Amino acid sequence: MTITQQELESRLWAAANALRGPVDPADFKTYVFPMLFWKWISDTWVYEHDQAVVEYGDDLDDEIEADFHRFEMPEGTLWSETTGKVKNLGAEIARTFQRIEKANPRSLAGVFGDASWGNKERIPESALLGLITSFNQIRLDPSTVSHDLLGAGYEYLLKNFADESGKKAGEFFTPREVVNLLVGILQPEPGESVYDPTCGSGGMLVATINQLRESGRDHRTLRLYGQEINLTTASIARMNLFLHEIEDFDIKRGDTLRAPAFKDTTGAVRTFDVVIANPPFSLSNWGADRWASDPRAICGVPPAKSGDFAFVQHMISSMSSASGRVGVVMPHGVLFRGGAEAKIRQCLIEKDLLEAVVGLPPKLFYSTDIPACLLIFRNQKSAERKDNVLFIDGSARFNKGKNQNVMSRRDVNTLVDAYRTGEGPDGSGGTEVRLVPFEEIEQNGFNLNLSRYIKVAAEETPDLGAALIAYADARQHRIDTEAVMFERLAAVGIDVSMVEVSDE
Amino acid sequence: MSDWAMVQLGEVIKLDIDAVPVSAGTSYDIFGVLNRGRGLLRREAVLGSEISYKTLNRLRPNQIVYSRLKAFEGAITVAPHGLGEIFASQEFPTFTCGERLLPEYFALVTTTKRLWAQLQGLSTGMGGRRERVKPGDFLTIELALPSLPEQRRIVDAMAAVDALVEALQREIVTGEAMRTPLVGSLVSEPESNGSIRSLNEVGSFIRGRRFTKNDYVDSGLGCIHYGQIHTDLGAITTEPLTYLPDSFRDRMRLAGYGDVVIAATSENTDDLGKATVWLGNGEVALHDDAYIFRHSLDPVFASYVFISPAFQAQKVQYAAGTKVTRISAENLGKIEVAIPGPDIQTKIGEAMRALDQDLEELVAELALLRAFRSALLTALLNQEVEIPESYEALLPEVL
Repeated sequence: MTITQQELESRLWAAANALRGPVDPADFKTYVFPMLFWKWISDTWVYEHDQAVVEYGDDLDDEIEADFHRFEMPEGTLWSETTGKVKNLGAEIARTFQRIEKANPRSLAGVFGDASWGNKERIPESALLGLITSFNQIRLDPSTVSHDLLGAGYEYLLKNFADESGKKAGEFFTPREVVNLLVGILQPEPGESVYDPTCGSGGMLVATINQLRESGRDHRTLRLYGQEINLTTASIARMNLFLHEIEDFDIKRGDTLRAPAFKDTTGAVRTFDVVIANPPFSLSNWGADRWASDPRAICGVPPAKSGDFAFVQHMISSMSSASGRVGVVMPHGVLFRGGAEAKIRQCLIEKDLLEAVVGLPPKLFYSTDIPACLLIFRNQKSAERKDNVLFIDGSARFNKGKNQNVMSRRDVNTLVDAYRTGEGPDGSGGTEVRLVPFEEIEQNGFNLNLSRYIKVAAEETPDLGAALIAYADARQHRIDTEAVMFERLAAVGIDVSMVEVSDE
Repeated sequence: MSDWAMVQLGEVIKLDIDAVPVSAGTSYDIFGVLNRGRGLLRREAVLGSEISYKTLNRLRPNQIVYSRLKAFEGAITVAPHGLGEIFASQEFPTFTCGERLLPEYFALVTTTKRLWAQLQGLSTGMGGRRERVKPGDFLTIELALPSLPEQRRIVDAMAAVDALVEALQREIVTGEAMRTPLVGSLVSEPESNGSIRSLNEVGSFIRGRRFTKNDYVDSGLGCIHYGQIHTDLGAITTEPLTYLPDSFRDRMRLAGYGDVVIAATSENTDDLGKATVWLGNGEVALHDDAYIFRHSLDPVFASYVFISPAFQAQKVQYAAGTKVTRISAENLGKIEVAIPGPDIQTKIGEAMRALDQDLEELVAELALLRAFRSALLTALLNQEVEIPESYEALLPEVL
């Protein structure tokens, strides 16, 4: 008996809602995903066991049975066995999770995260029981729910949790249309390695799988790598990939900028075919003090109060020399901010690594109303794009939403096509595309603000994000101009010592 | 210190007029010259059939041009690059610089009071309308001429200052463009819990009473003329700019502390409904082309309601009139805006006030920078400040 996607989604959402009241919606994910995952491996184990019995009957022994199971479930750790306990249910669940992780040290160590199941202040037993009762309604074995369906259900919950969490959602959720746009631009191929240094709940990695699957190619040969600083989120990412039937993945927990987890034998950061990320915007206190001697600082050390170019340079260091490409979501400030960031920007352009700048619509993200942009880097740019940067303005490609704006599948496809062909769609307003030669960028002082190169589509009603970008660019330009003027005045012989020249 | 040669303009520039016969079917882009060395003025294109002159003077980049009629006010400039084809009547003689004078250097000279005074001295004729500066006389003007390398250094140093003037202007313009969307964003934040209310529901509009500039006295009852709202007053006003005799008090309509004062008349729809909140001592009388908005809102927030996107969008449909646009009290009251709770109103008011103060600082900085520019230019042209040869290191190689 199978279940429809709609049914699955509504039941999953109902289960999550059993927590409403005592638990902050922003924490739903901490409890719901481990329960969902446990229910899934538990139901699957029972299903596999039944199959083994059918096949071997009385001949079934432990050794044969083990071959049927993807994960080992020690005695007493099945869903039905634990949830039937009456006393200290939370503590029982915690113990079960520990036993399952211990029994599967290679695949499941730490997968359930560190939720405080036994803490009745955090999650009262009544809420826990509500969650269990709801999950009891959903059978999650392969005969009922396919991998595709379960993966989609997981994504559905992620999206809903993000909606409920508001601005906090930025930490674990990138809007799927942005993910699809990035993946569409970078086009991972079967057999390639894909790496997300700030992988959050794994959305980018999952999207690469989905894209290959939808285009009818073999997604199982992809090798996926991710690093995530937040323990709960890293766990959610791992469960996400398991549910999507991915075997060959490695999610490590830790601080990518201070302690990159993927290294080669020489101690340098490992390289991958596709490097993709939506790092936290303008992260302060990211560890600048250690970067002076870090080989990843290929074009310089970014300012301590803004880690944007640390992530960019980490990602460039992580792309393979031949086929390597990088796609990263960034705030607009990286396009024009001055000081150390201006020097790094200029250096990256001069190395001819930057392939494209894509402007996104406002209000797509949970964490900010301000529009963001995509930067695309490539180690081997095509002949016609060498010494050029492709600018794509997608700022008008959206439909207004209540809190967030959304891009349609068509909007995403239009921008992907614009990137591939280097040309704007015929007869449609909104998207503007232009291949800009190095000299013109140099004349603009290596300022990459889109409005300097293409006429950015203006919104009917004035938009704060666009106004703020224009102002920030004008202000930065004034600061740069001021520095030049003081240099000139000093050369004229005028004493400018009473003026503090603005700089980093 | 090098000695600069005193030359007559005729030694370093020559009259160079490119007179083009006017043909009826052609359209000509016409220019004028702004006074006080402020550059060119582009006018609308005119068809040859509508031009009474037989020929027009064509202006080329780097040429010096002045208005014979207005030269005494400093209507002289040097044409920049990228003009396209532009024309003026024979009243605008054009000159080309010889190799001893850089056009960019002379462009700086055209912004000095000294040159304007020289031009004024050369004006001949009777009565303002008939005063003219003849090209022959113009070429007799005396000028202290630096060497070409010195001219280049002065041009480069001044260009750096002018770039900052322009950048600062741009920063102010983009900063001001942020005011309306910022109000819009602040009132629509989910936390603001705003409800949509018509202005009638939160206050009432009272029209001012007529007074004229002849009524002004040095002190007495403070008053606000609607024109001041457009030109002189920001979102918050604490001091009156003009006064009426105290005896006017009884027949005037007065705005008290916290009342918002709104311009009901404007030359364009954009500025219609511009508002300021009165936060000064006592009361001010209000002109009859303005309204008092007496309300129950946070006073500073109330002032910014009138730049909100909602107000700006709705006022357009109520704007009436041809020569000037007006909006009635009745229609103002119909406009619907988001009104958040009192605490949020105060917060929004404070945030907007901070932005406006920042912009005011920039405007003040710009005025001081302009004064500095003028002082620096005078010092450079008087040789009070002499640029050392080491400055050359900053310049691109000159062939």
